[in-house]
Amino acid sequence: MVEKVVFLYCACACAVSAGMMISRSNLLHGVLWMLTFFIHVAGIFLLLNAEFIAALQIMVYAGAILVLYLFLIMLLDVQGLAAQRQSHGSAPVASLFAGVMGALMLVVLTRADFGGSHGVVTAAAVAKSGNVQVVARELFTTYLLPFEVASLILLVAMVGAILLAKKRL
Amino acid sequence: MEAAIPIHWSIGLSAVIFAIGAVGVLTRRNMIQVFMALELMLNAVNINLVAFSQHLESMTGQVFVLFVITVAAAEAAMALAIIVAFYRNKPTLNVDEFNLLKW
Repeated sequence: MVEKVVFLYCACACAVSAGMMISRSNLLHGVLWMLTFFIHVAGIFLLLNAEFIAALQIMVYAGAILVLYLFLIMLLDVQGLAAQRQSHGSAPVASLFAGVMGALMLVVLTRADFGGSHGVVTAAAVAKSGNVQVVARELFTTYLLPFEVASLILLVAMVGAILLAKKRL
Repeated sequence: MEAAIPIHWSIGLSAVIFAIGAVGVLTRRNMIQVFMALELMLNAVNINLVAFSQHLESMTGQVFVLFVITVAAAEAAMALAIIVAFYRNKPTLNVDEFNLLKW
């Protein structure tokens, strides 16, 4: 019962801050709404028994990606640009289509029966050894190669970002 | 053991956030805001993956969230570097004016 109430709070906060985030014309306000969004998503991860992912969400999204956006907004003179018109002429049509898509997804997904075959990692097994350990075992055995490829992606992104943002190549 | 949160709730939330992100990507003109809305959509997918990971009692979903977060971080770094490089040539962030490769 308590979990459901907290989940509903987090869900409402997520939806509201997401809406505020894309509708603010001041980018700094938008980024601060993005912070509340990320924190509430981390709360939802906690409620879904994914403690490690929740910590990662705070560290990577709220800690790294958000600061990157803040840096960029303060680096470029975007406050002057905020005076311009913010959305396209076709914005109403685009939002209508996106809204229809969202409504369709809601109708279909909330009525679906998600049976499927269950895995072996039950909640009791996770409670015994801890979420981090269970995720790590999966990550370093079954998904070892994708894990290494992910580190390669990060390396390429780092080199690419330095190269692109440099003044003279 | 019955899950505390019904799976349909998480999926509904994820659909709503994904739709909000899609509205942002489609309607905003500022490049930075477009990328912020993109992060919204990635987060919606993450919620979905974690919800199914808990529902189907498998850790694969959570491992995939890890990879999604990695790719999102790489994407943000690259995108913002491209915006900085672009801004040097043409001081605007309007997506309609991103046409330097046209002649």
